[in-house]
Amino acid sequence: MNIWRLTLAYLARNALGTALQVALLALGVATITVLLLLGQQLDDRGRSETRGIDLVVGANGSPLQIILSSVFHVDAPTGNIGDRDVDWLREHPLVAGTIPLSMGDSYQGFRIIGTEHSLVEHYAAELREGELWEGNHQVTIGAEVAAATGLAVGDTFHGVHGIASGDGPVRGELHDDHDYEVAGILERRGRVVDRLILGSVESVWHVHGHLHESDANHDHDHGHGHDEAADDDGKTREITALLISYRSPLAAVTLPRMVNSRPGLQAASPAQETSRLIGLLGVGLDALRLFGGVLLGAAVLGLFVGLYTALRQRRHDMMLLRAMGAPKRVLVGQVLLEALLISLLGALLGLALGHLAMELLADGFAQARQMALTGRLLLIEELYLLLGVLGIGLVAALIPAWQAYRIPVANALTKR
Amino acid sequence: MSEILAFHGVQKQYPDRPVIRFPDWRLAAGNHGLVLGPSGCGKSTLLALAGGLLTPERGTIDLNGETISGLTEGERDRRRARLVGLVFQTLHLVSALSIANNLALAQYTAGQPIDRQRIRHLLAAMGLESMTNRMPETLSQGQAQRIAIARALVTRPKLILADEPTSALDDASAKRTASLLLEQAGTCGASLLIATHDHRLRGIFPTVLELEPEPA
Repeated sequence: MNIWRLTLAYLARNALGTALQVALLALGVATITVLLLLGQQLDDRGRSETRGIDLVVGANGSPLQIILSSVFHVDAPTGNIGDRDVDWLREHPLVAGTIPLSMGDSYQGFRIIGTEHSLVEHYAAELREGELWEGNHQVTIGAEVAAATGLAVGDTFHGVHGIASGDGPVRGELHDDHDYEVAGILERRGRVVDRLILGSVESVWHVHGHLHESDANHDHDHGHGHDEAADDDGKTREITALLISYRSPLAAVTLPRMVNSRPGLQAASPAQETSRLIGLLGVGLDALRLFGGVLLGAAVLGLFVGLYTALRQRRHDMMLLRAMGAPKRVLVGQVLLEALLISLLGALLGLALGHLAMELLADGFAQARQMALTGRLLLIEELYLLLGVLGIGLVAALIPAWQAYRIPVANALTKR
Repeated sequence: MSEILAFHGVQKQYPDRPVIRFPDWRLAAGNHGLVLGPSGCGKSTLLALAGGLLTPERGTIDLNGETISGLTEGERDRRRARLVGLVFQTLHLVSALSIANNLALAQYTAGQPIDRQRIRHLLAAMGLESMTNRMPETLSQGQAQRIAIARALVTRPKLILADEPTSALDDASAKRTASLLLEQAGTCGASLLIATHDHRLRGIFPTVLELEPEPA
């Protein structure tokens, strides 16, 4: 028997009230945990996916859509840009490097991207197996693609016309006359590259060169990027977007304006668009944060009322303890320990619930999957949250503890 | 023979109440005493003073040869935990704990190691072994009272202070409880001091201190 067992006995005795207090705390903590995890990952994805890309040039349209489609691979592209514009950009003195992106097909919901090996370098992705693609028939696939489709090195598959833009795989026309062969699989990076199928730009042209001869009027509802596809003789080749890195900071001032002045082109800054996006999301996140705060506030109030009521009920117990020789610090310690235990249980349960909710969210929504969100990460902020909850738990216990301290021992003998 | 308890010139005053003056008296170690008097004459106060729950405004109180009336509250707490067993008027047990754990709690507050064997033996000796794992609310009034006596004894105190342990009981139960207290106090070599207005106990105790009714 000691103060721990006494406290546990009290908590067990009032199991229903304890459970309510723990549950309230857990809900508040879980809400805040989800927000921490979500905010951190969105921020992180925004930062890491846009690192090394100074500008994205796509067809006329919303800059945000260009960034979402070409950097985060969640939205449909705005259209295509011609090779004359591409050549102009590649040879521009302000441009240090470019990576072309050509998209329009997918396999089981994973986008097939026509690009160059420099994109793999951009993602700093290592090969787990096999090699990078060569020629028009080979692709290298991301780790998530391999895991989800079961494709292995040497396997072949057919692409489907149309790309997924968040709502799962499309049911487009099957390009069964063009085989893709898996040349290699990339290591998992925890980024969008895990969900991409990478091949050459030519392979994408190759597929669609045939297509447009036979079917010039096919369904374009999926927002794929080949509406104005190549001439059949192959003179005009188009891509969906070009990722650009600047040669000097000066380029940031002049290049976007120069790009936008050319007909059919739109320049989009990943940094600007991402911060705009996070700014838009921020309002929602703030509202949720407030909600989490209110929940936590109510939980702390519940904890205070619970402790206060318990203390009134146990006034005789406390007098008894004092009369039996327990010093005042045992009484105070018991109240504080009770508050700490409830807070700790609530916080731990809340953190676990928060991670579970984040994992379900990441798994249940295609957009979240595409952003490679997960509940399986730990943040240092969670430790602060835990300590914070313990702290406010102690604060809630201060008044009850003070009352316990002041319980007079003298009337213990006769108190009824 | 040494004294377990000695009062010398003790006066106690509650706010807005007349001063209570206690006669000088002593209780030899191992002897038992009875404090008799009508309600409100200061019997409970005397027990509270003897146990160090209260301090007097004047005079000295010696417990087991040491003057406790000048000590701090914390020091008195420690003396009480070590030397005194209390049987309360209302027999209060901690309802969240089993009977055995109620006794263990007394050992804990006395700063003693938890001695489950002692608890079992004591309950068995008092014919209460069947209640070891029961919860307090399942006990009758009489059973609860015997548990309260067991709890006062479990720490092997030198002095047992009991406030009105028999006044709510019928003659037979009162007699049984008084003999149980005497017998158990004797077994562990403790002195027993009972405060009561119950004159049925008068014949049983060698030392009787009669307090005067409160002066009007």
